Amino acid sequence: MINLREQVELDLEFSLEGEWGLPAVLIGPDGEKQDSPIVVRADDLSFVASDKSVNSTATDFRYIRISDGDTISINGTALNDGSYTVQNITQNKIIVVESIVDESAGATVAMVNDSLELVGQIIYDTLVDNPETGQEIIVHKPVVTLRRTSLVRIPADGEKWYCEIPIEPKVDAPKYPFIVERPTEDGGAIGFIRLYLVEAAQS
Amino acid sequence: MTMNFRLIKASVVNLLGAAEGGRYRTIGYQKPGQGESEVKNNDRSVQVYYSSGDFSKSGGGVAGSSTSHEITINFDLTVSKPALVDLSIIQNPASTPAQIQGALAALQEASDLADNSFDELADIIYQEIMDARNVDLGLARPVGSRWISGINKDDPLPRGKLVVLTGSMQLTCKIDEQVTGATPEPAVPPAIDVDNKFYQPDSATADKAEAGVLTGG
Repeated sequence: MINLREQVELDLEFSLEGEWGLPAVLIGPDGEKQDSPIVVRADDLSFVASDKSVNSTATDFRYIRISDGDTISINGTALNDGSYTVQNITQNKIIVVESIVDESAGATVAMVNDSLELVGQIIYDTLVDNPETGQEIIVHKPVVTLRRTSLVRIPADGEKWYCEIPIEPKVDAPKYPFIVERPTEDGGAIGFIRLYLVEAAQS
Repeated sequence: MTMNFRLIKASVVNLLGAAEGGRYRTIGYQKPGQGESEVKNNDRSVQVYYSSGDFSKSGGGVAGSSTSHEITINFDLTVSKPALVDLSIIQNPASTPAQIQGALAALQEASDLADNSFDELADIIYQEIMDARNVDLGLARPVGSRWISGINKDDPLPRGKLVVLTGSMQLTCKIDEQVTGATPEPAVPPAIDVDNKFYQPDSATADKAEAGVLTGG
């Protein structure tokens, strides 16, 4: 039987974070920066000191966005939060360079791949109806769509979030500052969030 | 002769232009809807244009007669604002999360700034136009019933990455117009020619004509 949730996540990864994805940097009201995606969030991760490994009974690490040599951040553990360098990946085990402390599974742990950029779909121009004339006009208003499961913290209405996106739709274009000001459009049931941005200037 | 409503409009444009002081920009005509790209380097503007007029019922049968003209001049106000935040802290890699948190907490939202900016602009325009020292609006004598009837503020428009807020004010006043004709000299022959011209028929033609019969074509 098809797991619809997993299928949706695969579709979102392909459509939002695939080759057309553009980098975005988010800074939340707590001042924490999100510029890399969560690649695993699970409650079955255990840590073994003897072989310096992170282990899972359900997640196949070969199919997540981690490669040998990547730097990962682990959050949500009791003893092993921190930054690690990936040495080797097998089906249910990631071996890291740094030391690890024995810790059994249980807590929900998030693994961020710091070697990847947080990417999403960015639409720079939108077609809207001009309320004055009734004509359709093109409005230069960036809208950023991100996969919820890639985010450590998800923007909520009423919160003050900072966002940087490329000034034009090119991966290496200079980034430009924005504030998330309009209420966010949250497709929680299907796994994405849409952010409406307003230009930010130096106060 | 230029009608007075045109003088009033030009004078109001000059009045507001002289009072700008870098606070806004005066545009002496009505532009189509402004996009974000047009306003981003000009965060406050006022468009001034003659919107409508009502004349008193008068036949204007005498050259140079005057008629009353109640005019409405529109002021379309446009403001645009980005959000303001201390980017020097947020974009500094050395800033701590606590410092960034403080900067974000102090950010001023663009909608709030645009709303306050609009109110300030409306304040300036109203005070300038209704200032007792400007009671003549550029004419030689005071203008009758000079009155700004109200201020309308529209909803913020999705016009781009800035918040754009528009609204309008209407100035009505009563002036006299002199009806002198559109051109200083009559361009067509008058309807009634009062010159006396005597017809003297050609003698040869007259010889061939019978009495009482008009000849020639």
